[in-house]
Amino acid sequence: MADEKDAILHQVENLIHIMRTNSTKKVNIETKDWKISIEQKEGLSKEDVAIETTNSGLDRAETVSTTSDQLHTITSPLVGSFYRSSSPQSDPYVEIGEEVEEGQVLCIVEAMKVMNEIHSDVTGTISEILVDNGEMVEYGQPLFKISTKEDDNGT
Amino acid sequence: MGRKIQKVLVANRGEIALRILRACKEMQIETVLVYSEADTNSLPVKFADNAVCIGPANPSLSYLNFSQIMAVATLLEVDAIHPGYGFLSENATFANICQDYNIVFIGPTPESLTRCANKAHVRSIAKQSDVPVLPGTESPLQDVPQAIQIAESIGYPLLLKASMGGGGRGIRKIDTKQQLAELFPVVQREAFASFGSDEIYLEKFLQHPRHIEVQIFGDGNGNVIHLGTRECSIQRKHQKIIEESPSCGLSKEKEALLVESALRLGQTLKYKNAGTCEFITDDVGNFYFLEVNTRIQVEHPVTEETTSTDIVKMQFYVAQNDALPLLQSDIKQSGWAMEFRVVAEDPKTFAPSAGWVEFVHFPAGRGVRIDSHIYSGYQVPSSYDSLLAKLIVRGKDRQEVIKIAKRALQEFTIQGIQTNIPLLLEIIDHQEFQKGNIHTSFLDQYIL
Repeated sequence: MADEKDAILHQVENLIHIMRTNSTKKVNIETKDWKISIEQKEGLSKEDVAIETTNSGLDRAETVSTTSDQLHTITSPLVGSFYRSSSPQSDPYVEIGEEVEEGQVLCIVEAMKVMNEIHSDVTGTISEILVDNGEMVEYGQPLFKISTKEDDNGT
Repeated sequence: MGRKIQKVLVANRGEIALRILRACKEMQIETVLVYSEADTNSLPVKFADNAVCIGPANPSLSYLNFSQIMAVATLLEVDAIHPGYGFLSENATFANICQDYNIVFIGPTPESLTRCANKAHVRSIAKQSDVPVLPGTESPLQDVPQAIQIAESIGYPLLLKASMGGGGRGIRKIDTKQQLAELFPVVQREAFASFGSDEIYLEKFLQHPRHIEVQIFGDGNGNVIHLGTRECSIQRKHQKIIEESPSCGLSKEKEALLVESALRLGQTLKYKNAGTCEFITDDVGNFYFLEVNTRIQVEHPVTEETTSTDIVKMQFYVAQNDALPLLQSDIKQSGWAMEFRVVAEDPKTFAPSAGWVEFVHFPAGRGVRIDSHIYSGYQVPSSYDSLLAKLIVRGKDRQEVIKIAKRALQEFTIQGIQTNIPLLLEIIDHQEFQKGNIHTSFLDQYIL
């Protein structure tokens, strides 16, 4: 069962790659056990893929989301208070849409009066800030989503 | 003077975290649990009012990580920290930091923790309080020639032990002078690796001793009460497997003397909160003090079941009020209780058996209590100890407890991983166990 599902998902990944390189907008595949439809949405760099089972072979609809921009998540390496700027008076280190370099400071997590600067480990664009200023964060909690551009031509 | 504890941080995992959370719920104290990534799907995380992930599975980065635990404690403004057993429970430095942050450490004072951590030191305090100790060294050993000299004066066999040791590690039996010379540096190295100090000492080795301990509670001002004895003689590699209360190995007179010794030691130490004075006894009922365990013990439920007390709640009471919740005359012991530690291991090879608990069915019915954090579908992490559940059985006497325990162990079903339940059944079926003829090498002698 699990192997079969993995094999199908692997095929779907291949299909998405082919669609991207050929700018195909929509693909529907149907067998007696399952149905797949992949649609590359206009203006959005995101495909929604739905695998629907038509009999008991696969009993749950699976949704796979992929993006042509890779989204990288920055997580907190420690417990503490999340601050977007170096002091209440200063401007935030980063804003949504801002380009950041690998190694750039994104925020501070303060634990026990120690200010820990959190650096980006990738180069890209800030696409989401997941925590409000001053909130407590835990170990491993996602803080930022950074989109890292991938060569859309595939090579 | 203590203060009202309204919010507590639980710095532990597994069944003891659950045990503390349950007591807090009954006392209407808000709880904060800190946990590692390996315990994300654990019952304590689900049951706590607040749960904060503080690090990866490796205990030194999570459950032993002072700064992360204190960060949570201060950010969420807790009044107190309960350390459970193991991890930071006997760490004087951590207890000191709590004090600095004006957070109540639910346990003994940092000074008491430091004193009791040094086994050789606490031995000499015991001796001063007229508590019998095994013949052995009074101060740390210097070198091999000195050790040999002392060994000859006491006589072999002996135990060479780490002063800061515990949990059965850093202990070797010595039968000859040659062995002593050989193992002296080995135990030193083991002691340093496990406990950060290479201080070691010698102690007379008793053949087939019983392990008997006394649960005490102190208020920190020299007032000490006891909750009776526990016997923990069924062990494998110095790890307890079956514990019972009271002990079946002492006459009433000897038991009274042993309990008095424990109280005397607690008074001398001005001991605060829950502690356990461990003794070993020989086959004619002489008893010798071993060490003080400065924490709640894994086996505390057998005492609760025979004294109708709640030791965790008593710990909170002492921490909050700097006073004892009960007088000695309030404590009535009745009946018998046994605890069986169900652990994840191959019953034949004793190799740990981490993995998925596909299905679990706990025994129930009259006289049965289960303290466990596992559930059907639970993944046993490989990073921590292998305890899955404690089966605690209560009855009117030892015979009845053995009968209830047998049927309870037969009902106990754990699928997906291997457990020591077959071994536990084999032990309680053994004639000598049923007669109460037990000692710390019982398993080696009769079962293995």
